[in-house]
Amino acid sequence: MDKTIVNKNHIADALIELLQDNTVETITVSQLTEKAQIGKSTFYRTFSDIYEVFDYLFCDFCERCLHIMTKLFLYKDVPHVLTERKTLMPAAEIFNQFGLLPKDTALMQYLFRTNNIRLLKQLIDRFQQSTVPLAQQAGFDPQKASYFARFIANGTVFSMLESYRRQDTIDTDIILFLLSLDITAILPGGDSQ
Amino acid sequence: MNNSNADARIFRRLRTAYAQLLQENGIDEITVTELTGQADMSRATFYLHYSNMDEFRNECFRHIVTTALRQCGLWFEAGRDGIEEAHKKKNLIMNQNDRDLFRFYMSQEIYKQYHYISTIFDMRTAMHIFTDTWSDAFIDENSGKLTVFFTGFIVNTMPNLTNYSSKQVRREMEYIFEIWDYLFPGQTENT
Repeated sequence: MDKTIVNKNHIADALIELLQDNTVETITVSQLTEKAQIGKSTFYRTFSDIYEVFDYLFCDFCERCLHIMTKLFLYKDVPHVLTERKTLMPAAEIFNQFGLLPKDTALMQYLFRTNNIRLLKQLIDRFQQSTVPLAQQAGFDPQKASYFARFIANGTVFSMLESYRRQDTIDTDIILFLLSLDITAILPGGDSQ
Repeated sequence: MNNSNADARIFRRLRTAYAQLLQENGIDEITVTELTGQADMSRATFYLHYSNMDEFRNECFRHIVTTALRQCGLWFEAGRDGIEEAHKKKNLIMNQNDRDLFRFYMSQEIYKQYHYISTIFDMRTAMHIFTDTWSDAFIDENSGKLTVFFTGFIVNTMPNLTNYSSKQVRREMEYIFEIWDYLFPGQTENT
């Protein structure tokens, strides 16, 4: 593998660890290089600052999230999880069941913990955009499909955020709701004028 | 200061002045003197109501976001038949000035849109405002769905108030009612 990619991932992993107890704004490059056990010059060859590392982390995370959301919404390809109604499950366990890596869970928790609405919105925007070509392919009205995607993504992410903020858990009712959705029932092809 | 009408008028005048000042100044630059000057009001009047600029600013944004939530609630309550009437600009409960403030607020990163989040999280309370006619059994049975539905509805709809277009909101409300019908077949959304 390309050496810079190895470096990038190594540094990003160290950042994730630091994010457990800090915010992006307060972490210094010295802290990060110490954690990653690399020299500052190696760091500056790879990234120009902490925010760039965070962006790298976030983009990587978005890609995996989108993949999972698409599977979930369009192909109903869902792992066997939680069937009891009205229980609160630890968030980490749920993310894990849906195939997010531990580092993704850590980042998600960071976004939730710091109420980072801007990045959560960015994730939702990307999801909305990614549904347009899929909807066109399936013969749905793209405008309606993308509104629907946004609606569900907003509803899910912000409801999770609420229950997560309360006690690090996610209400299984929300997950069950997602499992019960049949997107094709609400978006009959060619239904719009 | 027992006259709540007078209080509301003073608050409205200050909000108008605040929106005007924010067009040219940063949020941290505006002082009480500037604000009261713009509102044509004495500093003493300001300090009768607020202890400092921070308190006013918080009160202001809390008011704006709550009004936006109420506006969304009204659109929903108006139902399908009321769509036409509810979306006329003159029937909005949020005036242009407050919508400008809301747009400004939504573009700010520094406050992490705290009021916005907590308003969305008041969904359960808000749901009951919308839903006097629903049975407890219905709410209990569908709590997960209802939470996701209203959260999605509010988060999708509120930002429309920053750049209001009645055509856009009406179209989106039609989608919302379609989603409602799909999720809760046979259940009317209001009386």
